[in-house]
Amino acid sequence: MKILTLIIEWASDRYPVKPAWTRISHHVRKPVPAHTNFLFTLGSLAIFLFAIQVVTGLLMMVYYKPSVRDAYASVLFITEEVPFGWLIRQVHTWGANLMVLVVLLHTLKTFIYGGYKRPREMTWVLGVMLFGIVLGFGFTGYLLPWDQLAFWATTVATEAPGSMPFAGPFIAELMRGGPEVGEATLGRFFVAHVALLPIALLGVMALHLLLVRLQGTSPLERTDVPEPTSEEKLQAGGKPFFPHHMITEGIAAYLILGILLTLAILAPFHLAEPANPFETPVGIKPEWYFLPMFQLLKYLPEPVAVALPGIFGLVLLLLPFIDRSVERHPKKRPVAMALGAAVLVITLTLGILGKVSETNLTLFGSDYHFDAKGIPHLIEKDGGPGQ
Amino acid sequence: MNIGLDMDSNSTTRRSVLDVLLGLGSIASVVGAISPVLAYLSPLAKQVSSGNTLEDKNGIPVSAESLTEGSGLVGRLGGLPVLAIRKNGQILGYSAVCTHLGCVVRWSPDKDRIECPCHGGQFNLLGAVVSGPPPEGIQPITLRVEGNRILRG
Repeated sequence: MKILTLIIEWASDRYPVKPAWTRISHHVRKPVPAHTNFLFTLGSLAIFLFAIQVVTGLLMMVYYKPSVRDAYASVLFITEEVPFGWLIRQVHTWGANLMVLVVLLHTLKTFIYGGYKRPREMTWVLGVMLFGIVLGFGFTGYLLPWDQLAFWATTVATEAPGSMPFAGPFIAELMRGGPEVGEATLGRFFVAHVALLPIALLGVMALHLLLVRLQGTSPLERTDVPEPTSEEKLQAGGKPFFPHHMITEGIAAYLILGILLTLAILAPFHLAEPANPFETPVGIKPEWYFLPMFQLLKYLPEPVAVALPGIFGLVLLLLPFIDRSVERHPKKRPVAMALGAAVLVITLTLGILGKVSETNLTLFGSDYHFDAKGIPHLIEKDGGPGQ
Repeated sequence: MNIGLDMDSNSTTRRSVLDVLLGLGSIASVVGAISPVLAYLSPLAKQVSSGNTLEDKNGIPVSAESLTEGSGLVGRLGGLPVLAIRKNGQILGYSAVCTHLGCVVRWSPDKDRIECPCHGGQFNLLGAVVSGPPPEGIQPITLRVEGNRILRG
């Protein structure tokens, strides 16, 4: 810390930085509650992954060309010609997947520990907005390689909102920049992916973090008793955020970096054929985190299937204002936990059904074909269709 | 970097070893992250040089007939800009990169000089500096005509 002290000394001789620095070190050293564990590193892991996405994304922008004619070839060029280009692209693709997973778990953890409750309602609201922005990154980034998967997944995904009454068709055309997915869509998605969404994410993330540090990690006690002071937290076994919790975060960051690199090297994402607007491949599917929504479209009429996730998102956003019970401990919130578990089970089921739909699987020695709705049909050994 | 809170003199040695390990680990991580990035950003292999034929900017061979008596043109030869001049029926060639600050020189028939448009450097038909800031002359290149093409001689 000697260098840091020297820099602060140098700066405080010239600018009034001392008061700000005192405040920052105070907030950074505030203890976290005793129940803080590895789950409480998920937020900083999301930031770490975002940093990796920024670096790898900037590197790919050096060679990527956002045009229908050149996009696919430029991604192929990055993967096959540029030194370490394959690694940069795979880390970016896997990083995006891990980012969604980490943000999902972070949200779930905050729900279970009751961290969204008074007085941290706005931290939660900003967090749900961040979740939406991260999904936006995944949605827009998926199109950029301009291969068959990207083209048709985006076609389906931009078609769906068009079925909503009133604003639906307008929203669909706004996203596509025309009647179908094409040059205009690629331009829009590119700008959203590399400029609009990063700016939005940085802004909302800064506010989210500021609130987290100002109010500290949420305790597990009821919301109608005063929160423990720093001394009380330390006495109860809490540790200072810096350096103790930061070390845990560092360890978690190295773990996720290891997972990320392993996946990037051993399980690379391959490009599909170049996009062909005249031929839809069979079994087209979106990224895993959109699978539940995609599957819902197969069971319910379109306007309902499109509206349901929207309503769910709104409920999630306003959760702290809907659930105003004073208890934080999960054991004392049976209704909230049951509802949360139900939502999780339904979403996971839809996701798994989406995953297995239109595939053949062998279960307990028999071959099954799962149809579009995810219902298994036994395939007889002689090849004829079963029941 | 010292990250401990409750330091006592007995644990100083063990702690300082950990500090060194932490420092080395951080440096190793940074190097590990930066080296593929540097390799990624390093200039890619040069475009395959166009060989021995003088080409225009689109890679089409310059026709020897288009280089009329007294005129000059700059084309690409082996990936580098080369100035070709037809003078008294002969074809003269020069490296077209000015030795001053890298601008591309041109033939000025009125003055009978090769001129640099950037800072007014002038060269004669031997490639030597006549006036201006260039520190040395431009390299003459032997050219010959084969069919309708201009080749390195």
